[in-house]
Amino acid sequence: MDLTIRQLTKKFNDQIVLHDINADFEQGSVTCITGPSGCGKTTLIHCILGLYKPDSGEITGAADTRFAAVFQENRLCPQLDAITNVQLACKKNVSAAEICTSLDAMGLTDYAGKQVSSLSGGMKRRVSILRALMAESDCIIMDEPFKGLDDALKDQVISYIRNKAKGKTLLVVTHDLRDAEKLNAKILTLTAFQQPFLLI
Amino acid sequence: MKRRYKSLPPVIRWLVIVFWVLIWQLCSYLVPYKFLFASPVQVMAAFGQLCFSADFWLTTASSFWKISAGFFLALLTGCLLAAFSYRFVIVRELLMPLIRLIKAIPVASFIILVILWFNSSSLSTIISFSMVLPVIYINILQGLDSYDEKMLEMAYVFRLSLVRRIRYLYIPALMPYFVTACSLGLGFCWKSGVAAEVIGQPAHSIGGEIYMTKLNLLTPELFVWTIVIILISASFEKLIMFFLHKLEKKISHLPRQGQE
Ligand SMILES: Nc1ncnc2c1ncn2[C@@H]1O[C@H](COP(=O)(O)OP(=O)(O)O)[C@@H](O)[C@H]1O
Ligand SMILES: [Mg+2]
Repeated sequence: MDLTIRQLTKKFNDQIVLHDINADFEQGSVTCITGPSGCGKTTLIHCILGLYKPDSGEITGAADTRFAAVFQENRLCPQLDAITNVQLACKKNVSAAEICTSLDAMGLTDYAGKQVSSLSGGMKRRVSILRALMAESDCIIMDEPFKGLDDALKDQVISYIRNKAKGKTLLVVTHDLRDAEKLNAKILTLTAFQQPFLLI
Repeated sequence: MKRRYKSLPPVIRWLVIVFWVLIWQLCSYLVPYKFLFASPVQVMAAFGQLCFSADFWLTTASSFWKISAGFFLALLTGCLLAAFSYRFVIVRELLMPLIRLIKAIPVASFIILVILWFNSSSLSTIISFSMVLPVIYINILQGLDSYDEKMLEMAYVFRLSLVRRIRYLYIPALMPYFVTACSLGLGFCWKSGVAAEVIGQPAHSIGGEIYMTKLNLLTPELFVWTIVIILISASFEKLIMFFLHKLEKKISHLPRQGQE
């Protein structure tokens, strides 16, 4: 299902965060969303995921799309181990062994059975990326997924993502244009909305 | 972690107990009216005697069964009511005054009311139930309320079924609240349950026996029953906590400690 965003506007109280955003994400396309910090990237993807209601404009196709997401703040269950965290988002027929194999591919071999709260930031990041990849979905949205990963690890993860997310619509928020290159992605640049001066 | 005091070898613990038992024995020499106090020796003797009577075991088992039934019923009801209150605001509003009322009513009035309204055989069950219920309800509801909204958004995005939300999100997050609630509730249920039995004197109850010791001035027996209650409630608590920790580990698939 293609996703189309038309004239999307989102305000928090009186602060306009997104103003007249238009974008098309075809099924199976890869897009990187970039822009300065605070310009509304997270807000935009929350609107697409249906977590925020836009003030005006429309997003078509989202209702028929099964999403998976890497949130800016992981949102893993701290008490559960890595396997269970991934498993909870998967369909029933995905076995623990299968998840273990994928954890291996992410360089997490020795941490599969560890409580997530005891993992480092970079490890948690990879667990949450894996959760999004293994869940059944048509569109995967990742909010700054490579934060806390060194370059070698990042390349490993990117190639794994490209492999796993084939055929799915992929939206990746990133600050690094080289990521877009490696992901072979189109680029959507958001600019911070300038509040017009009010004449009092 | 900083230790506030240097720990002594474990044998000291035993010596401390011996010390206090000696003090107890000493006190029994000092109390002028012998029938008002029981020395450790007398208590041991009374305990030995009681142990061999079938009635002792029947009474202990019957009280244990009734009071712990109240506890488990409260556990179940409290969790269910908390879940419904979390989901439906109207249920929460409806229950709030009721729970506050139960908490506010003095146990003594409650016991008398239950005796008036029901028969005394179910008395200790009802009392331990109503003492434990608010504790469980309030703690579990608080746990639910403080649950991270961001995790619920995550559950929404991944379209997690209710069963999975409960199994993977709510239960692990609520475990600490549940453990606290259980340990608080266990303290309440034994103290209030036995107090109810003392007042209502149902057949074959520890509380009834305690009342008898007062009538007949059987102070050693009173001490024995007190010790029995302490032993039962302590081992019951140990048992429950043991199972809760097992459950907790099972839920989170935690590796065993030391297996790191
Ligand atoms: N829930 C919210 N309530 C109020 N303001 C918010 C909320 N979420 C984001 N904002 C504001 O919207 C702006 C954009 O935030 P965000 O989308 O997180 O930016 P980015 O992800 O691009 O760094 C920021 O100024 C932020 O303060
Ligand atoms: Mg952001």
